[in-house]
Amino acid sequence: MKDFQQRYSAVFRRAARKADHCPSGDSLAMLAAGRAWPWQRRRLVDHIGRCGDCADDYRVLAAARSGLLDALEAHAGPASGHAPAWLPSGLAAAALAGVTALGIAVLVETGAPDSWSVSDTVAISDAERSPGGRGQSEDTLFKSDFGASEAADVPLFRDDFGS
Amino acid sequence: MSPGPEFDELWRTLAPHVRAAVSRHRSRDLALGADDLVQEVRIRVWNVFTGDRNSRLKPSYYYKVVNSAIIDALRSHRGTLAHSVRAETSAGEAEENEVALVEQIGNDDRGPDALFAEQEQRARLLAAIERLPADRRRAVTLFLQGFTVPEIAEFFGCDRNRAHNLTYRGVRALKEWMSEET
Repeated sequence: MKDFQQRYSAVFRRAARKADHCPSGDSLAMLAAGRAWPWQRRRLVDHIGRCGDCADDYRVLAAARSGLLDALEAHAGPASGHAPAWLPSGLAAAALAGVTALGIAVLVETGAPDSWSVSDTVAISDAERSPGGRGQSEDTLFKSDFGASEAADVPLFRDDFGS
Repeated sequence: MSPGPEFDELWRTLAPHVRAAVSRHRSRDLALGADDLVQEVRIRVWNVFTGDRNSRLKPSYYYKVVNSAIIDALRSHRGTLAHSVRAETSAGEAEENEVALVEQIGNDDRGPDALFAEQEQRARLLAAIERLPADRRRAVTLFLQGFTVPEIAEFFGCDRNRAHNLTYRGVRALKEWMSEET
C-alpha cells in the first residue's frame, strides 16, 4: 500500500490542487477539533480528499490541536472563572445533602415516626370495627383480628359485626 | 497600543504551538516564512483579545480563533490567491491548463515527453478513482493526499480496521486497473 502511495501521491496531489469552493477556516477548525456535525464532516472530508491545499491546511490544524488545547486549558486555569475539576462532584454531594436534610425536616414536622406505629394502626382499626375493643391490649386485638376468636370458639364474624 | 501582560502571558503559551504547526506546512507556493505567519496570527488573536473581553479566557473560543487565523494567514499568502476563486474560472480552464502545461515544459528539466506521460498517468489515475465505490474512493483520496490509516479512521469516525480495509481494497483495485491500462 505504501509503495502505491509513494508512486501516485505526488501525481494525485498535483491533479487535486484545484478545488471548487474551499470551506472556511472555521469549518476546517471545527473538523480538526472533532466538533463538526456528521453531515458536515462527510462534506469536508470529501473536499479534503480532492483539494491538496485544504489537506495541507487541515494537517497544520491537526498538528497544532493537542498542543494548543492543552496550552489554552492550562492558561485558563481556575482564575478564569471556569469550573474547577472538583466542582461537578461537589455540587452533586451538596444536592444530595440538601435533599436528605429536607426529607428529615419533613418527617420531623409531620410526626411521621408515630403515624406508622403499630399501636395507632391497631387502635384505629379497632375503633372502626367495635367501640368495645378500644380498651383491649395490642396483643388481644391482634389475636382477635387474626384468629384468636376461633381459638376461643367464638364465630369469627359475630364479634366483628356485633351480632 | 501595548498588548499588556495578560495577552503576553496568553501568547507565550500559544506561540510555540502556532509556530510548530505553521512550520510543518508544506505548501510550495507560500510567500512568507513561519515567523511572518506567526506574527499575523498574533495580531489576529490580539484583536480578538482586546475586542471581546467577556470571552477572552474561554479555551474553546480561542482555539477556534487561533485556527481560523492560521488558515486565513496560510491562504492569504498561498501564491495563488485565487484558491477559492478558481471555480469561477471554469470556462477558461482548458485554455489555462494548456498555458500552464507549456509554461511547465519550459521550466521543467524532465522534458516534454515525461510531462505528457505524467499528465496521461494522472488522467488514468483520476478516472480509476472515479470507478471506486464512494467509501473506498474517499479513503483512497485521503491516502493519496498523504494521510495515514489512523488519520483516515479519525476522518471517517470509524475504527482503524475498517479504515485500513477501505483503503487497502481501494488501492488494490486501483493497482489492478492501472496495470491493466498500462
